[in-house]
Amino acid sequence: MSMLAWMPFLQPMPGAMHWWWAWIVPMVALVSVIWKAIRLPSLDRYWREVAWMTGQVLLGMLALAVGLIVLVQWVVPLLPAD
Amino acid sequence: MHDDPEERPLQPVSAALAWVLPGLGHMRNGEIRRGWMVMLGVLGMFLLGVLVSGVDCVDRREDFLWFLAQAGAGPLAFATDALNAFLVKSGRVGELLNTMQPDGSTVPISTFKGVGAIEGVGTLFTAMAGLMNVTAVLDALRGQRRDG
Repeated sequence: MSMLAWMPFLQPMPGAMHWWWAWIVPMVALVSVIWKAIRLPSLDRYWREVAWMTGQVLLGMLALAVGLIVLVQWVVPLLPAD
Repeated sequence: MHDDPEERPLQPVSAALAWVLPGLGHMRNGEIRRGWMVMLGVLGMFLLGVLVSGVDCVDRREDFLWFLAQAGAGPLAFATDALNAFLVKSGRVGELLNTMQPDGSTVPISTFKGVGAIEGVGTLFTAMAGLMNVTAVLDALRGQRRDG
């Protein structure tokens, strides 16, 4: 299926499957946009707070991913088989 | 002072408007900028999900539990489900291919149906948009803050 034949909003985006994991970035950013709009008493520092929350969540997920890699690749193989 | 939510009168009309069009409830409460930000976030997330996966990611019949979350985004979710049924599942766009099921029966499935991780992305985006709008609806129900 070529890009020219793509019908936006009706067909899945071509090629998006190869970098599906990257969609976490806009998702976290948009969740932060909504959450900070609701939670902040004042919107004076709104975009800075949105950027800070987005960075915190993404770093947290990255840390979890690294922790899981360490657990699966190095810790679990050290356990006795039986 | 209206900082304490206990002292603010509930705004059921604002809550209803916030469900009909995300952000509208806050705008009715006089919190115009908050309303625009909620609208940007909820509609942006919902439409991005549909853009990535196609309207098939909202399916009231096949994915009802997901639809419960997606319905939080308001009539847009019902319209997307209706478009899915009218255009994609009926075969008006794309083709319907008979696919064999594990029990031996055949079911027609559209060539426009998303599969694998990319369908999950769209489903997750639209469901998250709905759930986040539920929090916005509850916030609009509490009325205007002191700062607006």
